Amino acid sequence: MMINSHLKLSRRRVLRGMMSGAAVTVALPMLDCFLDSKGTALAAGGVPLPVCFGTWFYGCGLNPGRWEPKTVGANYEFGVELQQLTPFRNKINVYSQMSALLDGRPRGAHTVGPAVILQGTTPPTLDHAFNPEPSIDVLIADVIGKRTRFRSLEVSCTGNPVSTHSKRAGSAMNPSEISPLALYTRLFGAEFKDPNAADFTPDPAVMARRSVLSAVGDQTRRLMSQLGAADRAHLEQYLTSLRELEQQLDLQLERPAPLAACSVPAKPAETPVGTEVAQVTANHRLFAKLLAHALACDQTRVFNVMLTDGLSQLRFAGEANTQHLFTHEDPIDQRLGYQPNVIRFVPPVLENLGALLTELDGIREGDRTLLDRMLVLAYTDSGYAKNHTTDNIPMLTAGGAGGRMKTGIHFAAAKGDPVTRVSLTVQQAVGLPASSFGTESNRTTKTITEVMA
Amino acid sequence: MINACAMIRSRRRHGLIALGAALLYISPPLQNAAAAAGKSFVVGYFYPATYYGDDTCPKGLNPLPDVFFKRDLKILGLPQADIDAMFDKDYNNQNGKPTTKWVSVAATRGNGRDNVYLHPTTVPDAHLMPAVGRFGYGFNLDGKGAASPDSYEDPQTHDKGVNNRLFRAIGCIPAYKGSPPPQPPLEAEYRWDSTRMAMGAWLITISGETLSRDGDVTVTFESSIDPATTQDANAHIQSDMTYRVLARPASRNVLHGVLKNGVVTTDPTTIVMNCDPYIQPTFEFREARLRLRLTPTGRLEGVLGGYQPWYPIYWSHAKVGYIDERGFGVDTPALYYALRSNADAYPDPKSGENTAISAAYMIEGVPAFIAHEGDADDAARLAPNTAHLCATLSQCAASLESALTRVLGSAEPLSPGAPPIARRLRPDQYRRVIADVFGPNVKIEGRFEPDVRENGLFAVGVGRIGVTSTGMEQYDAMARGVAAQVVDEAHRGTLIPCKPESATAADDACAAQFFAKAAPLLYRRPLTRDEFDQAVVLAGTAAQSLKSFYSGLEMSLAGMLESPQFLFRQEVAEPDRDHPGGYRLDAYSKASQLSFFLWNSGPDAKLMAAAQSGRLQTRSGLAAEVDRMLQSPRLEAGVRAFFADMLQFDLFDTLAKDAQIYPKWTAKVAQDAEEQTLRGIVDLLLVQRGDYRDIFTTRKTFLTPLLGSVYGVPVAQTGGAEQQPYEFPDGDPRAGLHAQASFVALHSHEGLSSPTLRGKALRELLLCEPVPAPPGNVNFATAQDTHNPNFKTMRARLTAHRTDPTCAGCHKLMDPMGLALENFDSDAGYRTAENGEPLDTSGELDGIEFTDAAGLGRALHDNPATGPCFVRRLYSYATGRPPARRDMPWIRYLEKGFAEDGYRAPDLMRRIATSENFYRVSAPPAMLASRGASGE
Repeated sequence: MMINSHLKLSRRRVLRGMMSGAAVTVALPMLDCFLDSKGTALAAGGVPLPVCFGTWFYGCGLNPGRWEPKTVGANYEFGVELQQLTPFRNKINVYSQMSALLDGRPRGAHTVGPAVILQGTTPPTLDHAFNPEPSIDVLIADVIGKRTRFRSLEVSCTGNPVSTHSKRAGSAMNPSEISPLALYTRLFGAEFKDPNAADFTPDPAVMARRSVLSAVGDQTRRLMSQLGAADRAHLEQYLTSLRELEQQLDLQLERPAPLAACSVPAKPAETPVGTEVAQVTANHRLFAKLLAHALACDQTRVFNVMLTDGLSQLRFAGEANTQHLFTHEDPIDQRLGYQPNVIRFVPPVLENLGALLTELDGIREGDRTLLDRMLVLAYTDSGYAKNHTTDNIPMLTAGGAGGRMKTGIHFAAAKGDPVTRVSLTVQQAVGLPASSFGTESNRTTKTITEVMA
Repeated sequence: MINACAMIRSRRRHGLIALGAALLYISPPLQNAAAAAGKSFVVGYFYPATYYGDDTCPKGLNPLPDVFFKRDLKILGLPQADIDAMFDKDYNNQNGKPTTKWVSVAATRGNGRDNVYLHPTTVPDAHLMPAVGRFGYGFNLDGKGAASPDSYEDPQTHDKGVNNRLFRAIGCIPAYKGSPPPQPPLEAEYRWDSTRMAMGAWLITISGETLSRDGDVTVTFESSIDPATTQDANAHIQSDMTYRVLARPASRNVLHGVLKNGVVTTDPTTIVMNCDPYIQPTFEFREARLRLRLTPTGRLEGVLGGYQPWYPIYWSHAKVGYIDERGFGVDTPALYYALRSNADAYPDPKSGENTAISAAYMIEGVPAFIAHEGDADDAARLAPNTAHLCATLSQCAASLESALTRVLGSAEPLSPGAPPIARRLRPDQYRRVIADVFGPNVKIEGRFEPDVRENGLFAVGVGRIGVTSTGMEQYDAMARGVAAQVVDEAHRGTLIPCKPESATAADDACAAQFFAKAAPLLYRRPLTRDEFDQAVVLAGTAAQSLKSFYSGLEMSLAGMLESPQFLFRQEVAEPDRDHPGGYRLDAYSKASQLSFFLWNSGPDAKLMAAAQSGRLQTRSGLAAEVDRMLQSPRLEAGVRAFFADMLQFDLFDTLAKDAQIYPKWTAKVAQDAEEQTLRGIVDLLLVQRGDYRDIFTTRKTFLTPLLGSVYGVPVAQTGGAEQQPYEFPDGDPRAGLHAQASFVALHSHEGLSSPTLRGKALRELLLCEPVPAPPGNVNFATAQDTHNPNFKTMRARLTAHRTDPTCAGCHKLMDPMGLALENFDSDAGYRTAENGEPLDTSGELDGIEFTDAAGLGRALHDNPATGPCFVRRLYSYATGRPPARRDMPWIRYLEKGFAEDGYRAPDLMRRIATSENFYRVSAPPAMLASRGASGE
């Protein structure tokens, strides 16, 4: 069997084998990336690089009255809590006064907010793992991340692989990486094909793996006819994941187009995982760097960062209470008007957001930066964690989505607007043909036109 | 000479309920059906049908023994004074027992010489007063209707001309007198109860195309080889017992009948039933008919009528002799005369005297199962007691609902099962299968994507998921890692049973040998032709392109290890031969179901062999395998896996304690804590075969020195880091699972304990009672006393949980238990005060009060939800689904059995594993619907 090393022509290959005189054929599907103009967009110089998207989650929200910008519109003035993001003010939009609406359903504390923001619905049960709706990062990745090695990357900075909000329709949640070193190995280890490498040799072992996976997929499809409906749905999901794996291998057989901004970062050391502020910050910093480089090298175009869980267990070393416990037990200081122990967590949380934006903005691509061509949605679970309310949830976006979104704007909605307006707007900003998002009271068709370019 | 059943003492129960509008009861699903529908009953009572009315005995009742003995002796000629003296001294002697002298006098009172029982005519006819009056049970046997002399009107059907001369003869003997309803005749209870113990049970089966509307039916009246000896709590015959009927039973009468308005009436024919061998070996009825009514409570009530030989009736009394007379008050010679003179059919050709007497008998029956045993024909035949499984779920629900309202008898209820479901292997199962097939040295490198819990268990959640792309990446990496090790130089000698002709080329024969051995164990079933061919072909083509046989094999094996056939436990259904119309798991799926339940791994070679040979699909074969697996040391792995799932030990993976506050808590402590609990559970449940509920009260545990340090008890380091047996002293609050680190530390915060988390865990995990979620918009401002922000103890901080009505409703389910555990800090360290203030660890659980954790343990032990919760969890774990309404009869049966077994877990596991319900599949598999379709 001959392997065509140029790999630009027809992809259909047929492997023949003999078994008791019968011919067995295993076919490879046609790869379509070469037929699409997007593929040529990866070539260097003058052609726009693809838009990217990321979500960034932190639990237990901010403090009402302290985070909202004091003015509305462009050139807004930060409230006291967001002031530490001032260096990025012109690239950040702030959205206030929007809520996750419950429609009478029980509130799963710290879970219903993210479910509405990312999936558009309140979960049918408190077990959010089985909310059937897909999350917007998956919807977005299915469009913009079709041809990257990884459809998306999920990370948890507190060491919990179940800490995640990303899920495909009808599927379990996409698990998070908890170790920066493991993510590095996955991204830049043996299977990484450097776009800027001088030469390229496709690996015959990868070829063989590819054909094995194809056969597995075919056989699975034949198996499906014997199954009940529920099992078939789960195997469909398996096949989708198998296809993504096949695509990863296909890309390993391709010579990638060079990318000027791509460089391999230093291999991180093994770091302890935990929920102490210092540990979370250290791991987040490593993840942020890896993700920025992953985007710059077009290994993926979508990421999801969980700084903490909704029930934020962030804590300062030596203290008995976590952030979440403080939000409930710290009494409001009558003189100050807020919970003094709770607000202490805001600076380290936002410092981490700043660190991510710094990494993204630090990757220069021509006269713009990686941050300019992408959109980061920074969201949380509560409007006021003390009471578990999901009114007036702080929402931020950073980055201009490749020019499709205006930045440096504070948008204050009419009170009671569903927070899904932001979710809808970000989908449109990255190029999805979405005209509505969400269900029941959280259903909206109203794009936030004030921020659309 | 034919002996007939003797008289029957009246029974202290109600007689026939007067027929009103007859209602046909929808049968519970577990009834007999030789045809499409059927019900089986065991005869609980059978006795002469006597009617008690004001006009039945207008001249009063026949005399009792003291009267008729004295009378006969007087006729004999004995002086009255002697008779009286004899009577006082001998008949009514000091002990209440008559002397033997008296007995012999009474027995020869006819002529002082001959036995009156053998020679009743030595005593003159005493002319028993007959039963007259309007009503008498039975049938118009002679067809003459009301013109028939001495006939009655049946009180149920109001047929006139009922022929029942037996009733006429005995109906005014006090012992046979019918009593006013609801009193039964006393005689029937005693006589039948004694008879019943010594004979095979009588069984009546009514079957037909349907029993829910009028039509033809078949009534089978037959005998079992099992006696109906079990009595229930009310000393009535136990319903729903199982009776075996041989291919050629001692008695069988198959009658044609008609069901009309809820009553079955059979055509006249001869009915012969064998009875007890001593009193009455045979009952024979000519021109006999049955009238049977199915009551709303499921019992059978009816009348049998026909011509019965009269002498055997006499003889069944006479044979017992004096006892019958004195004990039952039946004047035996007088009975002879009465029966003889009332006989009204079948004249003896020589003497012309009638040999048979018209009779009617009451029948009462309760539902029963019939197991047909005997020759091979029988075994292959449909077992009538489980004839029709519910064809639709709604049918099941309707019939099971009615079954639910009855006291569950000893027989296991049917569970309709659920549709087949594929369950993804859990990481430990994946590891075990690889270790079982390729040995324990093969390392698995990679991270499994997390499982999801549903209904509290991973074992249920694995049926709800596919594989995410991240997960697929990892499975691929793990598969390649395992495959690479299998073919490497260190392993290929042992794991690959052949050498290729050339190491640099394909060798299909050797590849086929390898896959023939390994693949069925990996897939837990034989491969299809397609699967096997593909494995070999892929190995070959990869070997060609990579110029290496072993690399080719590696590629193909890796493909298998990331295929759904390996990653998922697929359930394959087949038609259930024992219950036509239903489905069950095929032999290999059954083997997996069993082995993942008991051993948390794929089937071993012996179990696979039992599946292959078909033995596993037989009751005895299954029981043998189950017992083998329960004896095996591998059972421990299954029990550990179950408890790790139920107690949510996966939380250990993300458990963190603040190092400054709790410096003693390290990762090793967490490991030891988990092992302490699991080892203790295994010891209690498997080694000691103890009561499950004792997990809350047992003071025996296993500690490492590190755990001793945490708990504050001395544990010598001379044993190394091994777990050593340790027993807490009596009354120590550190006894029981709820006091162990694996519980209190797991359900705490990083920096402090949490009564609410602990109480919630006890309530939800161990009592199976879900706690509602907190309400939205909880305003904690009102809940906190801002004037005293420094609460010294947790109990004080949680005051609002108890006092605020919006909080208390749910928190009272959790906090009282959790506060009892405040002796245990977040790292399980023992303390008696918090911030200088002594701890108050009192509380209550569902009404039982306690003062400390040990008391809480006793309250948990005694809580009625504890045992059933374990049953439901184990049921869910084994079946992979949460308990559904349709499963509740079986689950309740298991709960009952668990209690009866003394809450011994292995016995419960055995009950589940040997039950047909465990392997039953409800809906036809999709393959039947799309038969013929293949490929994409």
